[in-house]
Parts: sequence; structure tokens; C-alpha cells
Amino acid sequence: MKKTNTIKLFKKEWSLVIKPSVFVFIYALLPLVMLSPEYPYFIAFWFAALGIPILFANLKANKDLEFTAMLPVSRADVVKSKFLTVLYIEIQQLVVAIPFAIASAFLNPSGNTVGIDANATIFASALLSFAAFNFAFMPLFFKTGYKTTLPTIVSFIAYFIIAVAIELLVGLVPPLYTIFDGYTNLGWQFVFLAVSLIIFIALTYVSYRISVKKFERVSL
Amino acid sequence: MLRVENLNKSYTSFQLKNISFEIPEGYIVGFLGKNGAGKTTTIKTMLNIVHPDNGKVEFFGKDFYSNETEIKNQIGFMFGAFDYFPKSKIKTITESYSSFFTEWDDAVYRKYLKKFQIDENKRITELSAGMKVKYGVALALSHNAKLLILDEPTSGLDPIARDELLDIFQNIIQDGKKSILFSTHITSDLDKCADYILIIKDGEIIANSTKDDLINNHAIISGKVEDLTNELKDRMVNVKISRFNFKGLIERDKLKNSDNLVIEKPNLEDIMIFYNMEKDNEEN
Repeated sequence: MKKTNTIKLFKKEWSLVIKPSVFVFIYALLPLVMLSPEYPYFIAFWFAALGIPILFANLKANKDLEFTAMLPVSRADVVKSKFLTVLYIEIQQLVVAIPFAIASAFLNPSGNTVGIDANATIFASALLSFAAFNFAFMPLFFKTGYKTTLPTIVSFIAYFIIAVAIELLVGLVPPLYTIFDGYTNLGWQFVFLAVSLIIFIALTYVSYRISVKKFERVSL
Repeated sequence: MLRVENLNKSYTSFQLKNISFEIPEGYIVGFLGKNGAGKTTTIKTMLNIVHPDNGKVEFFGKDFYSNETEIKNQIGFMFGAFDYFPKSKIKTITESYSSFFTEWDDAVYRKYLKKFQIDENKRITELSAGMKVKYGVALALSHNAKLLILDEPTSGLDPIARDELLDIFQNIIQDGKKSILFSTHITSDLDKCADYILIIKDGEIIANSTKDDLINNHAIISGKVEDLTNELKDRMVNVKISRFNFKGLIERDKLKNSDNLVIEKPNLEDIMIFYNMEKDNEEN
């Protein structure tokens, strides 16, 4: 019963709120910039994070939560379905980027001149940045179920702190540079990717729990 | 069917105070109050859309707050005009809305669409204010709800549509198994079809009885200003005084044989107006 409600809400989002234009924007821009050897790729992933606040502002303009309050669903279902939507966007972005990262590696074998190359590290960095974004954005949004500006600002700052910190560590610390930049030490990079995935899942789960708790107290 | 007990909610400038009432099976209950009296807040708090500070709400004998999903499936509610997803087509919205209700009845829904002359292919922004209300009502009526809770379902409707809607309400409760609670500030809606009346003022329920009792237990009295003693004034709910005459509302059991007054039967509008007037209004 609960699962189906979440799925129904998720479907509702796609039929009533999510505008295809948002996704053309995300999916068209990202692969293009990954082919360039002179572009910080962490910004490319940020486009997905940019789409999410737009989506939530859209929800607000459509009074989505007020409508949802009339449906026989629990508040936890509502929060869960919103997380599902956010995860769907982030994961799709990562998956869509994979073939372009591979193409980029072949097109620019000497790597990216302004940041981490299109290797496993950049995907690990994206996962950690998304985790920070989710952790900041979702609980802050569900605290009011209404305000999107503050959550957007705070979550973008969180995203950039993580992404830039990883870029700086990998770019400036020599042993890290050798392992995590370039395409030679893919083994270690995949270990980092796996660890990042675990952190992403854990932190997103914690964000979900906090969001449910906050949203239970909100008066719509 | 519905029992609300001591529901409280405080805001900085407004308070719901110990709201308690019951809705029996098979009746229409009219929830009357002026704008800002707390009708919508009461309904929203009852349904946990606004969090109550404390209080108890039971639907069909079950605690609402711990059986929310199950109960919401068996009730229908709507807040005024349907103004969600303005750019979406009615068809798309209904498809989504209906998927959540286990007892959605498409035939009933089609019947109301036809009756209200709603075109499914229109977008919400293309509907008039009255049409938005009708669409909301059609959604609330189409999943075989045992209890309908409608906030201002008649506001914005023309007299013909209002009459039609009130007839629909009466048809719905015909089988004696369904009930309707609807809020309004239009007393003639309730003259026509309410069995019970709840009156709310400043966040407090000030009257809760059958419509007939409410009317029969009150009287409109009028007379010459010189007959209006302070003692009489204290017995009255409220009074309007003009230069020579006065007119006021009194509970019938407070009438005395010695009162030398013209006594008339009030209507709901009289009752609502006198209860909502500021006391000691000596203007005019």
C-alpha cells in the first residue's frame, strides 16, 4: 500500500509538474561540456542540482503540496516521492554522463586542463556533492514545505564546497594528483567511487529521515 | 461519523478554542461563520493539514491522526475552488487524482462532468471561478466517500448552480448512510438544505443544534426604544437600536410574559447577524 502510494505520487510529479524543458536543458548541456578539455566538469553535474530547485519552485507555483494533502497518502509518502524524483534526476544525470566521459577520455587523452579529468574521480566527486546538496536542500525545504530560496542558496554552497574541495585536493596535492587525476590509476578511483556511493546513500537516507520529521510538523 | 473533541490551535493573532462537535450519519451539517471566523482553519486542523495543538478527531470511530491514509480514502474534501496545477488539463489531473482512491467511480465522475458541463480537455486557468468550484466538488464526490467535507462549495456559484449543488447534496444523503459538512457564509444555502447548524465566531463554536431547534429557540423581538430596559438588553443576544425602535435577538426561554413586545420567528440570517454583532452597539 505504502510503496504504491509513493510510486503514484512519483508518477503524478511527472505528469503534472515536471516540464520536459527542464530536462532538455539538463541532458543537452551536460554531455556537451564533458567533451571539452577545458571545462571544470563538476559544474556540468551542478546542472542537475540546478534543475531540482527549479522543480520545487514549480511545485510551489502549482500548489502541489496543498493538492497532495487532499489525497489519501501519508506525509512520509509525500517526502519519499520527492526524494525519489530528486534521486531519479541525479542518477540519470550521472548515467547519461558515462558515455560522454568515455568519449572525452578518448578525445582528450592528455586530460582536462582546468580540473579533474572525465574519470571515475569526477563521478565520485559528483556523488559526494549531490549528497551534500540533498542533505542541505531537502530538510530545509521540508521545514516549511514552501520556501525554496534559502534551501537553494545553502544547498548550492554545500555542493560547491565539496566539489571545489575535491578539485583542490586532487589538483594541488601531488600523491592525490597522481592517483585521482588522469586515467592510469582507475582501480583506486573506483574504490573512491564506491566509498562515495555509500556516503551518498547514507547521507541521503539521513536527509530523508530528517525531512519526514520536519514535514510532519508543517501546517500547509 | 465524525467526532471532534476539544480541538485547539493557537496562532499569534487567532485561536481555535475547544472546538467540539459531532456529525451523525445521514445528515447535512452547515458550518456557518463570517469571513475569518475560523471555518477553514477548523476544517484544516480537523484533517491534520494544519497541526492541532491538542484535541481528538475521530472518523467512523477511528482516531484520525493514527489512521490518516485509510480515513482519507473514505472521505472527500475540497477547499473552495480547485486552483492547483493551473496549466494542466482537467483530464490529466483527474487521471492522477483518481489513481489514489480505491473506490474511484468513473461513471459517477462522468455524470457530474456532464451535469456541470465541464470539458475535460480544458486547462484549469481556462475555467471560470464557478467552474473551478464545480470541478473540485466533482472530484470530491466521485470516490464513494461516506463523508464529504466541503469548504465554501457554493462561493462563486451563480444562484442556479448553487441550487443545483444543494439538490445534489440532498440526493447524496438520501440513503441515510452518508453525511456532508459544508462551510458557508451564505445563510440561504443552509435554509435550503442543512439539518444541523454549527456557528463559529472568533474561533469558538457558539451554536450547535438542529436547524429547527436553533430557529425555534430564538425569537426576534422589537419594540419602542423606551421599552428597552437594561434588564431586557442583558437577556438579549444582541440588539439594534434606531431612533424610535429597537430590534433584537433573544433566546426564547429568556422571554418573560411581562415583556410587551412584538415577537417574530427569526431566520438563519437574523441569528447569524445578531450573534456576530459587537455587543453594546449603540450606533445609529
